[in-house]
Amino acid sequence: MKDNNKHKQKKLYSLKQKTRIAANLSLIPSLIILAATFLAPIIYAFFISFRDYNLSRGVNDFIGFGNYVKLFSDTSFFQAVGRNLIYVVITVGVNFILGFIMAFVVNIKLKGSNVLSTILIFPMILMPAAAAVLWRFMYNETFGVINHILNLFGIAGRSWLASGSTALYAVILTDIWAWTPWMFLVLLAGMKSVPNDPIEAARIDGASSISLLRYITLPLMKPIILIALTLKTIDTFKAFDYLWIMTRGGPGETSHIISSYVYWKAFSVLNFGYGSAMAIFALFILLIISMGYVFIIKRQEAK
Amino acid sequence: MKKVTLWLLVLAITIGMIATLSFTGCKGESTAETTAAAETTVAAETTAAAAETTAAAGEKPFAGTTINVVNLEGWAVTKPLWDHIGEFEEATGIKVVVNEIPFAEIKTKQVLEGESQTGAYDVWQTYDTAMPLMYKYVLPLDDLIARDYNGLDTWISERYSTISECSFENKWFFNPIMGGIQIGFYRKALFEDPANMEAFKAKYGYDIPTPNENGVIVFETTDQILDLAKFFTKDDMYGLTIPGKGNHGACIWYLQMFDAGFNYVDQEVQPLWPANKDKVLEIAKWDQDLIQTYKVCPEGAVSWEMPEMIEQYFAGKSAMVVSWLHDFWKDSQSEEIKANIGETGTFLFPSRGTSQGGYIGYWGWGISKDSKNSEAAWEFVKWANSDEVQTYMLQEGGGSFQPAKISLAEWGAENGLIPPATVEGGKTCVLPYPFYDVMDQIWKLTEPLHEELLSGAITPQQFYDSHVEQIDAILKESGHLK
Repeated sequence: MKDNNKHKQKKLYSLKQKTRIAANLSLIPSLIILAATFLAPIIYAFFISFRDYNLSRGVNDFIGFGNYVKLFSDTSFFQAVGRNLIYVVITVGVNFILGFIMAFVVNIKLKGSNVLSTILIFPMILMPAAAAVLWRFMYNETFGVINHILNLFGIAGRSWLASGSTALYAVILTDIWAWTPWMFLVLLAGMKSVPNDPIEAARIDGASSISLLRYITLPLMKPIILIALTLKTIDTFKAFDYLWIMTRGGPGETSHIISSYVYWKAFSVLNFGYGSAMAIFALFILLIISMGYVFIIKRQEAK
Repeated sequence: MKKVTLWLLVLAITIGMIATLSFTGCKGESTAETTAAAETTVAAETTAAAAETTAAAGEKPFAGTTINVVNLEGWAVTKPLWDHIGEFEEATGIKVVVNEIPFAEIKTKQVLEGESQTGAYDVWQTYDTAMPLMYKYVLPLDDLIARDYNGLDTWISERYSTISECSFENKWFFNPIMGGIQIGFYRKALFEDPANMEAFKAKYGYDIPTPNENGVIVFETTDQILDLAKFFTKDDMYGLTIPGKGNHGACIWYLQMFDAGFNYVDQEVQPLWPANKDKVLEIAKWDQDLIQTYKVCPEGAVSWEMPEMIEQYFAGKSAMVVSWLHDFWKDSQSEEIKANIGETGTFLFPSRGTSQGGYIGYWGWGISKDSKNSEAAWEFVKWANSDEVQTYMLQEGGGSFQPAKISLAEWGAENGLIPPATVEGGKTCVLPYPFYDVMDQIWKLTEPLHEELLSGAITPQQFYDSHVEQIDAILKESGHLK
């Protein structure tokens, strides 16, 4: 009897091991692709950040921390970092507020809310490059529809993309227009997943809509809100397409954010060593922000 | 983490890295060796191809070959070339794949391809200030030119001397497509209106300048342009619109810098701005005042490149415009545009007392050192630059250009296919010498700084100071600064 059990256990272990090995082996193709497309470029960039790799001068010499020393004295880069943070805070903040309002309205299930949902997500369907070109024309001082509408109300139009004080905010508005639908969809899904029972019970007890929202809906939606904010923050931090097409960091350098500044240095001026150092530093900042969010999510889960 | 999974992860990462590095092509040989090898290959192929062509007359020696050709995205000048590409493919059996690249990327993409040695582009297309950086990635063409153009000396003698821009280290690396200079367009209806002429004279004390015998207004001073710009700025029309954004905006600076007789560096690649500080400040102030003080140029121009600027002009919102306007010459002559704004005349920017024009910049074709079809690529280059095709480009193109070949340029001018100012300006324009390795890097400094100057974010003094500081830094870093 004992021998039989031992034999059965051996068979089980062997089966478990085989399953585990098979599972691990099936990971290999994905890991190879991940390594080739994600890790390898980052590691390569890390290594060339220690080199004076400049195609304009045809050099590729090891210089140690030279690029990082240069980075810490580059005020333009840190101004771009500051603008990047402004970009993220405003974009994500407004995305969330507008997305939540839109989700709330659609969730009430008024007549026509399905049609409304389809219309609301249209900006997200448009390719970023196409949207950026569209908005660039809309902002045109002479022919743009924005100034035309403002003039109808007796408000003087202005050169939105030609002024250092408005260029960045013009791009932020475009980004908000394009990605609020994404926030709307995620939050709508979150709202729909909130169980009905506590809401019904609260209604019976005489709770108002605001109280329902504040004490039941929002707390139950916290995990999904945190995830949506995390993903949106990471994505917005890397924003590039709208800004590059609409202003290319201009006028001058007044609307550069990290991605456009790094692109300018690396690809326009062909200074890959310095560009890589900036990219690695930006990755470091993004890691800290992401870890902050992960910490909050984990704390939320622990509760 | 389980040991097995950890080892699998390490193995996967290693395989992934090796795969990536292999595909991105680590350089295993020096540039000199690569150059020698490529040249030997071309020479051998040339001999073989010549023998084959002789032996197989009437056959298509390159049938079945596909070549990738770079073209500036949306370039009106080369559009007829692509309209006729079927004729080339039919005659040679060579399939041409056109890779349209925007101006902002055209240098970077080709340089990166050259560095990676992928040979993704067989035929390169590039512009003057990028040539010093790009020539080391393309084949020298001397032997091919000598073979197929009745000798190198003949080929040179048939073209303007300014094509020397396409040669480095005493070799020809690019076959020039065209030369271009910046000119101005003006609305003849406004300039020639008797009421305007009278009112202008009454206000400014001199007549509105008129075209010379070649049909070109050559302004004598910048005050003349400014007076006209102020005079015509009214209601919803601006007197003078310039592009302010990126390279097109910086080109307005380059034009005036060369018109004023100086450059960023001298022939020894030493800084020239400190010796020309007064001129720099004068030009910078003039440019800034157009928008900030006199408001004869729309504020929005700071964010405009040529297409947006010319739209302003064609819509009748601007009396004058300045840029690489040969690209829009045909459009300006169309019935539709004439119905809207009348006839367009051309003018040249004043020389600021030097009798020297702006600078002439060439676009040229090159053949990648890594091309696996260099002979087929050369067949394309010869065809694209042939008299026949350049005639199509002049006659059928949306734009116009100054051909590198003298006889073609004269024919184009005689037939009104080239803007008069382009022909006139070609006589006084200069090459943007010297050509040096960090030329593009220094010229690019002006792009963001000129935008900030035009938008009023910096003063002319700050414009000067930033340039001088950064030029010194680049020259020091590159070992030029003595």
